[in-house]
Amino acid sequence: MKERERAVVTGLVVLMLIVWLGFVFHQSPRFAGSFWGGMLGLSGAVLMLVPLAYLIVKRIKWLKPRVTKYVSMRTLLAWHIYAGILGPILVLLHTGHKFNSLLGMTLTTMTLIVVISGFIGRYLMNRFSTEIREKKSLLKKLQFEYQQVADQLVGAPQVGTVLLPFRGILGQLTASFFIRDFPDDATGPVNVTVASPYTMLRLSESIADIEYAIKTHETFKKWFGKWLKFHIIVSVILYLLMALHIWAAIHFGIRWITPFYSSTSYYSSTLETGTKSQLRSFENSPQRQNSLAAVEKFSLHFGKIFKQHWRESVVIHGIRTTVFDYAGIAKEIGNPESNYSQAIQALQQVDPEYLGGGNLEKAFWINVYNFGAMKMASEKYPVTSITDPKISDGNPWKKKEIRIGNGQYSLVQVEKEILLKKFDDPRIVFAVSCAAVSCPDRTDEIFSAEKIDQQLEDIVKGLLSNSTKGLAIGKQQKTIMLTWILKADKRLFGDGSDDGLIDFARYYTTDENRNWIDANRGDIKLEFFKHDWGLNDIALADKEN
Amino acid sequence: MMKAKKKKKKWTLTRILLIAGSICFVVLWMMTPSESAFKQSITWQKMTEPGSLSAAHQQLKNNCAACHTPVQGVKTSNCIVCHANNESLLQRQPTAFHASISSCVECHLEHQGIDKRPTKMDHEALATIGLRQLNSESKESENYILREELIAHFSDRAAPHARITSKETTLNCLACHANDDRHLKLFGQDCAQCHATDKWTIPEYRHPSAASMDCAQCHQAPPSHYMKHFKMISARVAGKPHARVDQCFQCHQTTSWNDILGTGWYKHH
Repeated sequence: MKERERAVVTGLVVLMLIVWLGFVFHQSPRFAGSFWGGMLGLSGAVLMLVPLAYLIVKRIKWLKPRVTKYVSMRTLLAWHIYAGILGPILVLLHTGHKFNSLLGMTLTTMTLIVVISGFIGRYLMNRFSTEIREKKSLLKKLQFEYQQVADQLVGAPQVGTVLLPFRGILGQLTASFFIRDFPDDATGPVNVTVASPYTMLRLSESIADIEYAIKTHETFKKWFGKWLKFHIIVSVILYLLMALHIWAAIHFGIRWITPFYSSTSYYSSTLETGTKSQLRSFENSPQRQNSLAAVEKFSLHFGKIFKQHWRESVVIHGIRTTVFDYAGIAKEIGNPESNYSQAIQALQQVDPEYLGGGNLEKAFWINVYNFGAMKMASEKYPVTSITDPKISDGNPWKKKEIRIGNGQYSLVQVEKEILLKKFDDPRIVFAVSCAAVSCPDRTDEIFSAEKIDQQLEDIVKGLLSNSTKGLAIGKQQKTIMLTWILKADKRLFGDGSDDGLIDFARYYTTDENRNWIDANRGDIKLEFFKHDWGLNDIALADKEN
Repeated sequence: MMKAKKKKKKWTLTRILLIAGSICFVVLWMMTPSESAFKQSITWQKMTEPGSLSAAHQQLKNNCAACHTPVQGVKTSNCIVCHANNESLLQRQPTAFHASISSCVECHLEHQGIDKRPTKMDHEALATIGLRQLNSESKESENYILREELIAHFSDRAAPHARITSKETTLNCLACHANDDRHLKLFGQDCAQCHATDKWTIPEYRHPSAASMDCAQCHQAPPSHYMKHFKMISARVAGKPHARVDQCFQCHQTTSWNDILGTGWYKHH
């Protein structure tokens, strides 16, 4: 078991050194701060805290019996060893081999020193002790034999005389070269138990060798004897530096964490695939399907009302405008089979959260606005304007008259809070019409997702080519009279200045007007039509028509 | 018994040393004047500096907080404080994108050393930023839909070649590189079909054989070759009075356009 642990840990230490030495060939300075680099660093740091458990349990007396009841010290030591080597490996991977700052370099050095000192203490120190123990028992055996031989030689003093010439220092050193044991019987095996000066000499030499070896080993052992203290002190320094390192990371900013705070950093690609699958589930949701069907139903019925009651342009209050037969629309109210009632019903099936944006939603809300205005006028018909006191006490736009799904909406909400906010398109203010004479002329079609862009172009062009309410040129006074709509929503057109408005009008008006504007651009005076809130009702057409 | 006593004594010694050490440190700390480097936070903050700032940012080298915000790191607003109105940068077509990018650190990396320019164009980051800007809370907005379409586009389709990522292909090369087109628009406007984002050269490209006679398919002659100058000077100097302008190979050699066959190095202007 222990042999296996040693082999595994040795392998891991070697791996750690290889990982560290990788900086010679490879450097990835941005890795440490990336998401995966950060994760490696974090998990490495957590693993590096695990070895503390062993230290604490071992040294706190009252804690030890309480913990060892559940986990033996052996297991804790195993955790200490494995976490203590795996943590540094992860942390070294975290560096991405960027060793630039003083703190970073010291931290890496300390990590390596702590691991290596632990490794030496656990496995090499152990070796010294066993070897010293083995050598000591060998020494004892040799000393015993030596004593035996010496005793025998005392009994036969004539044999010992061979040694007499080698009493000096030089003699002692060279004795083995000159003394031969039983020179006449050299072929037989040397029997050490037989007393002879030769055996004596050999034994004393061996004893000297082993004594020397033990001494060396003991010097080493003494030298490494302080390893545990060293290991602990270096570890404490390492933990301090680690705390500083983490503080520095927080103080100077964590790159991979910033996406959650601000817009300055990367979104991970997983977030993007996430939204894609969200989109798919959005498309397939029953609310989405129901809303789409309801929008289609509303468009169908509102389209029919529109086509049926739309009339060619007439003149009301001197203004040329397309009109509707509001009396006809009013007749539909109350009949549950009528297009009017069905359109209202369809709107209640729409969930505004599931319209999905784009032209479909844009066209839908514009139609809702126009239907709402038409509905307010028709319900209280006969009225002569949407501002009629029968409809509201002065502000019909704020009246929450339109029910969509579970919510009540007002005209201003639909225009300002939904249409203009979601769709950055100034032409919208021309398309939403409050059933007034001064509003842009319409064809007999409602807005549709497929044609909306062309329809918006046409509606603006139509108004700015209409000299009774859109754009009138006073050639003598060099004035342009523009629709009040442009004045009311000034900020939507260009930079909101008079020049911006003229640019917009110039683009959409007739060729003839455009040429005149270009020719007189420098000294044009801007004026605006007075907005006529009269209902664009066929019944109100001027008599001379 | 003796051993235990000895051990106890030893530990006491360690404790005394530790306490003495801490007292020494505190005394030393109190004795040093507050203006000494030892007591400046910058001295300690410098220990974590991964590398020197670039030359242009040297004035900020002792003021980490000028750029760094705790946890959030280097915020764009801190860059804009100084770099808001670089008119020449914003007016040039290739760099005009800076006006709306509102993200700096992706390409402008600091602490690379005093002699390094803190700029490294990263088209992948540019594409990421673009997609991020299109993202919005409301799933109905046009930007959001466009973003979804782009993502669907680049994740469903393989990149045109291995040197470019499909994310990079969501960028419109012409927005910045309109003036870099050497092919006079003849190869279309989708640079990414052949080019990568790190360099214009294409490693797979092999110039046709030097013996090819179709030079004019790719190479256009200088304006003077389409005037009288060609017949009167160029063709005559080269000794090919009947050469046509589209027959480059008649006079020119592949070593250099100015290495004229049979005439040697010739540069008229």
